[in-house]
Amino acid sequence: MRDQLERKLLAAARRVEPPARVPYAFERRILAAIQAGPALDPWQAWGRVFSRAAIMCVGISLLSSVWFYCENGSNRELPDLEHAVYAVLDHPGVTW
Amino acid sequence: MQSDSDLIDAARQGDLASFEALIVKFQPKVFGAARRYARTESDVEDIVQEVFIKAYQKLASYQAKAPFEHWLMRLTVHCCYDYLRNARRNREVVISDLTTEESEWMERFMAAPEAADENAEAARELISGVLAKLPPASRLVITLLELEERSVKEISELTGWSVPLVKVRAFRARLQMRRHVEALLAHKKM
Repeated sequence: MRDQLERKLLAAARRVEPPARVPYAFERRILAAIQAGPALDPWQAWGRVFSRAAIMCVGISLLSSVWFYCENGSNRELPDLEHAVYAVLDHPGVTW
Repeated sequence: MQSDSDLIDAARQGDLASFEALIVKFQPKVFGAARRYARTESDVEDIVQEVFIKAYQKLASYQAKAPFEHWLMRLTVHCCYDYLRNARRNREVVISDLTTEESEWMERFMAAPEAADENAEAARELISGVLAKLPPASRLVITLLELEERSVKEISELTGWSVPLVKVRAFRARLQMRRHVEALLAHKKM
């Protein structure tokens, strides 16, 4: 019954062609819109700039991460950096 | 009377009168196509306007390998697809309750499926309701395949989707449509 109903409904839709009537002087409206030029939406322009900037930032961070990993992936000096950063906490009595 | 290619060449040079002649010639076809997808007449007008504005802007990219009408219909299908996606995003309300006429048609169908009139307005309203519930890609593919009876290759050319993608989307669309038709039957049986 489901297939039969589907066939009937599709046949019903096929039977009638949508009307091709055109509103009076519609071509004038289109030409006026063309002559007026595209409406500038400031939010859309900002959105486009920001989305491009975001993509570039992601790209740069990925490249930097890859570069950093390749350069320092097996670097044993990293703990030294950690010591230097935490030195002020490890030796609170020392003043520089 | 100037040919299409003369009008296109002149329009490319910025002659709006020639472009107007192209609009007058092709707008009935574009209106007919847009009315298959849009719900209101004002939406139809917006789609047609969008099609011709894009056509004017992209006229330089038109290469006369295929007739201008084919190129314009491709643009129309793209604009209709954009319209369906925007309408979906804005979550337009789709009324799911059946009207009295639709309900009566369904009763007649369930009593005697073969005798139910395909030419009835209620049947057309029912199928528009089913189509309105489909996702944009499914609605587009069902309209082109089942209502306009176009081939998969033609749909691929109109939409820019590959032939396998059209087949996959058509398969998925038929499943979705079947589910909605089942829901219609279940709703009526309750």
